[in-house]
Amino acid sequence: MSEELGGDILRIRDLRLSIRRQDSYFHAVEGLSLRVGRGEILGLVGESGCGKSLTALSVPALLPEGVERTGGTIIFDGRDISELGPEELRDIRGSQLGMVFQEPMTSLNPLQRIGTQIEESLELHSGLTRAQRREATFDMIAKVGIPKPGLSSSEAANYYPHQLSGGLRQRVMIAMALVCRPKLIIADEPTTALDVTIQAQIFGLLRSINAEIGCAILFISHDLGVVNELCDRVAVMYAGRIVEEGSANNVFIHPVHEYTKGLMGSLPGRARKGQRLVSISGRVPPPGERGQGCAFAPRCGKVREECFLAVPPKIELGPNHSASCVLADAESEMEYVNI
Amino acid sequence: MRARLFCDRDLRAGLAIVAIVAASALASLVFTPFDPNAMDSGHRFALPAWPHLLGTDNFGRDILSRIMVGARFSLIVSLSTVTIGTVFGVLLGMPAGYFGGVVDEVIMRLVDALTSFPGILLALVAVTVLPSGRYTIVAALGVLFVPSFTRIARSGTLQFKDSEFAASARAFGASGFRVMFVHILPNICPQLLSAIVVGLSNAILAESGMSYLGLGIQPPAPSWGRMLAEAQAFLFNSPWGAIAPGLAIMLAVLGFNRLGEGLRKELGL
Repeated sequence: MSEELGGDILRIRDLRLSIRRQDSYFHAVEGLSLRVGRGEILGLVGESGCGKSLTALSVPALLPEGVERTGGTIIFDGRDISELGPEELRDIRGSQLGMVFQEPMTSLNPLQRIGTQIEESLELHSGLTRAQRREATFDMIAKVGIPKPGLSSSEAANYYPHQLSGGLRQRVMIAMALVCRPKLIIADEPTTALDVTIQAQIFGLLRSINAEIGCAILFISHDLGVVNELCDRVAVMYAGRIVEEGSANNVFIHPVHEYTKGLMGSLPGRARKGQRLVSISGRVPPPGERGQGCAFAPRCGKVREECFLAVPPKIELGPNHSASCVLADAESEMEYVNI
Repeated sequence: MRARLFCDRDLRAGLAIVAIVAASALASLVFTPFDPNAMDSGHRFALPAWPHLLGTDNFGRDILSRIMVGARFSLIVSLSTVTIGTVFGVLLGMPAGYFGGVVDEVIMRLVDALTSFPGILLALVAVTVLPSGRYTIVAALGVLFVPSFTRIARSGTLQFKDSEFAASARAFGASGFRVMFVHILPNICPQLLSAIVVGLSNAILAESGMSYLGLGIQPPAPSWGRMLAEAQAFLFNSPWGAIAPGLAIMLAVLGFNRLGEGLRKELGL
């Protein structure tokens, strides 16, 4: 473990991801910096199209065709991702870095038994014998809670994906991500396609895995309530940048950035009966239509002239809270006094 | 499941015809009414009757026995031909679809070049160039079937390479070839299977054509195409010699065609 890492499993600095169209580039993610500590659950929140999923895919270097990393560094477990060859990358994927995707219905191979699919990572990365792999697979199936009453995990391993419900399939995905005991799991909206009750079960599972195995989780979601429930720390993303970051308590109780405030105001749980939910007017500017200033300025209620001139720098508000807003300083002092 | 599988008319008809052809081919290994190559100058040009159920040819050979043995060679040749086409088609088409770019261009242009020749001409050249042996015809015809299977494998791969399960396999560290052959290949098997069955009917036709031209399996092994060619000279005196192998070819082609069509429908393609 190198010293400059400071215990972080993942450190992203000034990440820039660009979408290539003919001969021009659009920057989907621009200057994003992020860190995930070992064993920590970090929630990455933002609305659709703000670049969350691309950020997630850039870590294992699996960006879709037409999207390129044009700047920044990604340090995973002390190693710069861009300095690794294809072999080394494949070695990391699945063994040290697990991915859980959004669509459990289609992310499993329909023609393979789930046991085989969970075992695949072990086959690729571990030196275990076939019998040991089977055993580890059954253990993992039991751990993520796939067996129903009266069904052993070795029987469950013989199921095909179509025989399982969405929630169980997501458990299979989590088992696949976990079976090699990775140091980090990136979960890209893993519960969006699931019922609310199933969502709660999956959170419970993620939390117990985090406590038991000690793997860090980068949890990506557009749902603040979900993130609040699950995460230690939260990073709020808007138009390709992190606008506010901090411990879940700090961010949720004292949101500083106007965008975070808007998101909080639009949570149904917070409004009183009869009170209208707040909505943020306007829409996310698509890549290519962002000005040189703060991307949120056109929609911001407290916008000033300087907001359009330059991207506001990140301001540390406290030990575990920072925001990129020109208003951050003055307001935060006020709010922290009120505690 | 079983009831549903056999409710399609094409599938049932195809299966029945193919079963008859395959059964007579298999039976010929242990039993034929007469020795297919035994000449009997006393019974030349016999009409269909007991004991020669389909009559005899100009040498007095029993046509039914020759048709049965001919079915065996026809099936052997067409099965091996289509196997060559499928194996090379998959090996070429899947990387073309999966990697795209230069790989795709090079492979597909080669395949295009292959298709730009008339098939029969290519097979004739191949038979001439390749060392002559009993099964030279298989290699010659196999080449003809590579392009269509390459295209099918390529389009199937394109369909699945960006699927979520392929993406998740990559995220778990699977290499490109592993994603292709472990995850994508089983999923394109339905497309390949129905193409294989239809390909068999084309191969039977092509083999008969080559044998008719005298380029098929070497004599004295009976072949439907050559039986047709030999009977041609006596068409007006003894049409039976030509009608029987002609019907056999038609039946086999029809059977595999219907079976392929039925499979295509059943597999929902």
